[in-house]
Formats: sequence, C-alpha cells, structure tokens
Amino acid sequence: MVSLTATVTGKRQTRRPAGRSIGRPGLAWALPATIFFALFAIVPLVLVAVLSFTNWSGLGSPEYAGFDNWVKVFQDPVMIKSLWLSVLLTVLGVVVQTPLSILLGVWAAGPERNRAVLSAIFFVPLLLSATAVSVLWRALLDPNFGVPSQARWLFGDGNLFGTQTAAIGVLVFVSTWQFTPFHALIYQGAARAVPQVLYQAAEIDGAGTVRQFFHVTLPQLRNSIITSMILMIVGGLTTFDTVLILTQGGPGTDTTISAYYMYDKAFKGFDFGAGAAVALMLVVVATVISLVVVRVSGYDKMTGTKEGL
Amino acid sequence: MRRRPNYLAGLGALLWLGLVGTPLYVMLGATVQSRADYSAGGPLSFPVPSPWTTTSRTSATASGSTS
Repeated sequence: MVSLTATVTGKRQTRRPAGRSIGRPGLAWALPATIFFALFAIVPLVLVAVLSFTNWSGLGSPEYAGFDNWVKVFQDPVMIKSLWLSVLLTVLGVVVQTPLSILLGVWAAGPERNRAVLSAIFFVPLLLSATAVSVLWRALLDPNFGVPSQARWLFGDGNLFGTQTAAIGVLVFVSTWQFTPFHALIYQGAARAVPQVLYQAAEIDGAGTVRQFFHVTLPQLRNSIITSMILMIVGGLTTFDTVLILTQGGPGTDTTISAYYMYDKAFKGFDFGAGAAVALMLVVVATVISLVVVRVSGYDKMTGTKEGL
Repeated sequence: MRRRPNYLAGLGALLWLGLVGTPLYVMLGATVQSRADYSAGGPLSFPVPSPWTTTSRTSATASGSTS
C-alpha cells in the first residue's frame, strides 16, 4: 500500500531506520502488563521486604527492627531444614510427575474416542481444590479407617504420617495425583501439534513405536517439558494447603516446608516480620532455581515458529 | 494409516483410571451417607453405601453446613 501510494504521488518514501520492522510493538504496548506486574507483584514484594525489617504482631504499627528478623530466622535450624525440604519435595515432584504426565499426555493425544472419554475422567482431580483433595486423601490414608488399615502387609503399622519418609511420600503422591492431569493437558496439546509427517518419515526409516516416542515425540515436546517443569518448580516451592491439612508440618518439623514455616511464624506465632523474611528467602530460592532451569535448558535461546506480536 | 493397538499404554491408562476413580468414588459415596454411617464404616465402605441418604446434600445446600 505504501509503495503504491508512493508510485501514484511520485513522492519518495523516507526509509525506516535499520532494525525496525513494520508492526513491531513499541514501549506503550508493554505499559498495561508492566503496570499490572508492578501493582500486583513488585509492590507487594517491596512491602514484604520492608516488613521483614520490622517487628509486627498484626496489631498496632510495625516497629523498625533492623536485621533482627533475618538473624533470628537464620539462627533457627528449622529455617534451613524447611528450605531443604521445599527443594526436596519440588525435585521429587518434578521427577515423579514429569514422566507420568508426558506418558499420559501423549497417550491422551491419540485420536481414539475411548481416549477422549478416559481423558475427561483423568482430568477431574484438576477440578477439585487442593483442600478437598487433601481432606479426601487424609481420610483414605487414615491409619485407623483408611486403606493402610486394610493392607497392613503393604503399609506396616499403617501410620503413613508417622515417619518423615512416609509423610514426604504421601505429600509427593497426593500432589502427583492432583497435578499430573494439568501437566498432561500441556503435553496433550503439544503432542497433537507434532507434524504427522515426522512420524511417517520415522516409520519409513523403520522406527517402531518406542523409537518414534524417543526420537520424534520427546524432542518435539522440549519446549513444553521446560514450561511444565518451571510450573512444577514454582508450584512445588509454594505448596502450602496440602501440607497444612495432611501433615501440619509433622511429624515434629519433618515436613515443615518453607511456605508452612512462614505461615507458622506469621499466623501462629504472630511474628509477621520473621514470616516476611522467610517469604523473601523463598522468593530468592524459587527465582534462582527457575533461572538455573531456564539457563541450563537453553529455554532463553529458543525461538518459536511464530513470534507473536 | 491404521494404528496398531498399544496394549501396554492401555493397561497403564486403566491403572491410572483406578487410581483416579477410586478416591472420587469414595468422595461421592461419602456424600450419600449419614455422618453416623460414615463414622461406622469409614471411607472404605465398598461397594456402595447403604442405606442411601441425601441428608448431607440437602443440609449442605440449605445452610452450607452438614451438622
């Protein structure tokens, strides 16, 4: 249209500066998202940072306390233990959920009608709140009335909340039960987007189902795997309600993950300054882990076939 | 192109169906039992809770409480 107008009017068009393409969004386009992010992420984060340098019980006005809360929190052995437990739960969650959700998602991506029906049932746990799921599993795993009481040969004394290993196992299992469908949904969409011609080429080359999965499907799911892993990491580090209902941080402090420790400090101990310090530590750990995943996986250098706006 | 059935994947899907379906069944079963029956039988009162009652549902719908 521009060249046509130029031809008709006979005027020379000024050339655009090098590197600027037509339709590339300017700074104004980023303004709504920036305002939204600043208002709902940066401002609360700054307020929490300020709160971590004060003493506040929830009543009256916060009083400046310098680094007292930080020193107090780092001198508490439960703090370091809680960070370690958060990372452990997150890693276990990623290790267990990733292969399961990939298999489930790839299977659900098939065109058969029975898969569509079963997929709909598989995704039901996703519709339930974490609280409902935790209450349900608390009842099912109850040592006196639940499954362990009926299967002593498998569960021993049946108290799955009595030892650290068993309690962590329960937490990983319940979050896997609830969140695997969500990640499977991501992989289902990604698997359906894999070009059919790749499978046809692999079949001509003599590749069977297993080889096609490892050499065609998995590489094509790479972007989705990293996206899903980052979501799992963030979700794992911020898990709270499941721990609150299933183990309440116990036995002792053996499942007191950072989010629960923060709640314990702030809302049970009414020490909001220390709670804010724990919250900030959690933000730092989550950011570092996410950055490492993005860097190691090369996610920051990936380019899509469509760049969007 | 005709696809060969993947029996292993089918078996895995059935196992997952059991893992997902059983707790959901237990949850639905609990909603049609009275509090006394649930306390007596526990969450594992298979195959179907008896006698059925809609007390919990009507009570929850009416007042948001099951007491």
